[in-house]
Amino acid sequence: MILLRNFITKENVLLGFSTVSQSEALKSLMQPMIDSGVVTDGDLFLSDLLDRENKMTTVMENGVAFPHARSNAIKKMAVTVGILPEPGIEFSLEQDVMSRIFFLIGVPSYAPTVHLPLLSLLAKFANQKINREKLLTVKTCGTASKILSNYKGG
Amino acid sequence: MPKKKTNNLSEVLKLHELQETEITRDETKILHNPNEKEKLEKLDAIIKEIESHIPESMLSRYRKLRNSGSLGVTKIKGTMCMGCYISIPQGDINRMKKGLIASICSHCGCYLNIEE
Repeated sequence: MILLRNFITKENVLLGFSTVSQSEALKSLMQPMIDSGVVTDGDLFLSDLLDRENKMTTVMENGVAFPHARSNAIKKMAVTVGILPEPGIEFSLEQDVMSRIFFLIGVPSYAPTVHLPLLSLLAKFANQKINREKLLTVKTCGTASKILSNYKGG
Repeated sequence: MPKKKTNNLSEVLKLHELQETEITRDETKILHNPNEKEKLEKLDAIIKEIESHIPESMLSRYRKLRNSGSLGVTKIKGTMCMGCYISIPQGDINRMKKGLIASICSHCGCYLNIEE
């Protein structure tokens, strides 16, 4: 069973960062991964993320975005959670909805399916309105990571 | 004597592209509502198109691997197969690059994308 607490700590939660575009949002979200050494080449990872996004949007109908990519620039699977202030941004042109909650997932290219259970659990979390509302009202990164870490998928 | 026909690297690359698109399809199923059918149909069309460039024998072997729950195509890191993490003899990798033997890991059976 996959546990969110193994991937989400307060260090990889971004609260209230400002952004106006898709690539700017991705750059902000990948910064904690660059700082921790998980991303070895930011430009390559960004280009892989944009390629993946062009293939098929990763934004759910409710606006929660799951940008992710398999990349040679990723050493091991990692997640960054981002929460934007209102009104959020239109992350994908394919999905006519504003996004305020982001889960950026880095997937190493040698293990291309390793993220599927994690993606599934996070999608289940994001599908519940009450969970989204909890995340959107947190005041600290620690609280956001606690909410997610405590989620077991029930 | 004519050389035995093996898969060439461009076919393995196509197979890798197929696997990537199939994984994208799995991700789409997780993230999107089942009534957003057009998203899956778009990916299905891409999958069909890629499949048309891959020999039937490779496709059926790939399908068997995927259906068993493993990857069908994997990369190598140095000489290590990233499917089973067992080292492949450098001589075999050289022969795969020249197309003299099939790009398949002799340990786990995965197709190997040995592109630099």
